[in-house]
Amino acid sequence: MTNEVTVVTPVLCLGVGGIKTEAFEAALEYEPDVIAVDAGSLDFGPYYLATGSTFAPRRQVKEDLSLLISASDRLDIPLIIGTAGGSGARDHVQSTLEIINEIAIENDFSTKTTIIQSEIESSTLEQVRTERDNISPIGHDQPLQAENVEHANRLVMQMGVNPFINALEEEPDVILAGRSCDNAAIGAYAVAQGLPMGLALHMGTILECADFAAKPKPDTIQSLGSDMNATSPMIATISSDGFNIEPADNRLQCTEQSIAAHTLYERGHPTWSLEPGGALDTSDCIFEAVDTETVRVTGSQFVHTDEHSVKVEGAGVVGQRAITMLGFRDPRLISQLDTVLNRVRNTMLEKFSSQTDRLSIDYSVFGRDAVMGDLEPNTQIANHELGVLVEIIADTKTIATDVGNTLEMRLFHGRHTDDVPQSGAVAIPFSPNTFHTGPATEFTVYHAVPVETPDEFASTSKVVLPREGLK
Amino acid sequence: MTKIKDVAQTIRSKNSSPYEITIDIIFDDVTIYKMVKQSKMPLPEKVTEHYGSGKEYIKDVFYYDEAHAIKIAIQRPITAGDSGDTDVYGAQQYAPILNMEVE
Repeated sequence: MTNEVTVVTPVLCLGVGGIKTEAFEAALEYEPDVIAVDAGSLDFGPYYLATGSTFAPRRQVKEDLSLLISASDRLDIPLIIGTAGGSGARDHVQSTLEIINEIAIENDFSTKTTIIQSEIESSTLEQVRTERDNISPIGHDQPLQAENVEHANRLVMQMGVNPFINALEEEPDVILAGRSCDNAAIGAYAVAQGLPMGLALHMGTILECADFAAKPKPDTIQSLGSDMNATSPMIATISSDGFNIEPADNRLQCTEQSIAAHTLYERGHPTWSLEPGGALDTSDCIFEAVDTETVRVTGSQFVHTDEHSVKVEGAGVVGQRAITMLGFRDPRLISQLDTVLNRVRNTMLEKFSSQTDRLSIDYSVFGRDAVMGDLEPNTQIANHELGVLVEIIADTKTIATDVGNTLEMRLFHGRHTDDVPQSGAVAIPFSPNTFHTGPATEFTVYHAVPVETPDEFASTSKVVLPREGLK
Repeated sequence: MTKIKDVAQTIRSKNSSPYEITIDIIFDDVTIYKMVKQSKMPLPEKVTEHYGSGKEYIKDVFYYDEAHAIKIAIQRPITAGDSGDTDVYGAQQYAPILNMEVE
């Protein structure tokens, strides 16, 4: 057990934006006990989880990891990576494992890596679904049904601190974890050292965004220029009654308000958020400036619940997507837009629905209400020009593309009004006119599942890299 | 009449989950924050006015004094990434708030 732990988080997300090397070296001078970084998010949408694809450029992930692994080796401290590969299912973790393997080979050193998987088999979740009460939807009201599980191509548990704490007992060089709570991947080391969970998770919540929670000092905004946000490290030192937090880049500063404001970033409620096993309550927090760059936070509490629940996320492929874009410039057609678009859509639905189980055609009218949809308060079209994005989802690539091509020809050649030309009613900006964008995906599972132990859905393995034939 | 965009330091929106958008209005100046918090027309009503027929999606308004911040919870009309979604991150849903008037 220890009095104090220093954590460095180098970047907002592994592989996104790059790490500022000078600031990172400055961060290492704080003699951190651990380097911890989040490597993914649901923010990017369901596609990456559903298909096993990665978002961040591989080259950037490798560059970032080379820097981090070399630092962790030099300082003899662990490197912890949460939500590896962007979504944290097995394929995503594997993609990062291969990169670490390459780095080990190319730099001629070995690394003891503990892998914590959190992907759940459909059959396992289905069994849990039928056996356990109190599975509850999060943020929506659809109960978890068999079809939700069946339609997910990948399912993951969002792990909390426990699997990391267990892994740390063996003192690995690297912990490569699947889907995790950002704050758990970053706060777990401190909890493993006996420091309070509430403080550790709150620290993790702020640290995981790296320098995002800091702001430019008044006289340095010019020198920062167009430097991308959140690519220089943040450092926190946590003890039993609070944590101090500051940015590594000396052009930035944490203020009481910037840290308080970041506590509520991307959270539904300003002071209460559900976590595995309970909730983080920041309502009694005090934020106090220690100096011009550093803020001390005290008062963060973890509230345990009797039943330990974890969030399970699932996404699946629902069809194949094709898109086209239509340019409208004739005001006589613009004034009839909805009538014309709806008529053509209905014709397409009638014509093609016998060929495909799934068929949806969505229009987004840019220049009117595409960005906000039903939330848009302003429904008057004032523009001389509109862009309509047409999104088609059907069972196959061929059908989706056929619908797109037929729809735009119908619009192009239709007798829409007495005066609009019967050929050339819309502008089509590219060739091919319609293109297949790959699988269309949706989130199908987003539920809190009670578990028997915090590690129930986690599985841990150890490997010494480099290893031949890792692929 | 002053508009909130002229007195708030940051106005931003993001998903807090695939099903919900969270809007933050953060004030530099605690006096202005307090004034907005205590103004004659309750904030939830003002917000729903600005979203027009979309107001049924406005779920909650919270105040967080430590950050001089107001948070608004909105149900996403379309789940993130579903067909017809045009703002996967929920990043541009704060715009109507910009012109909200404060005394």
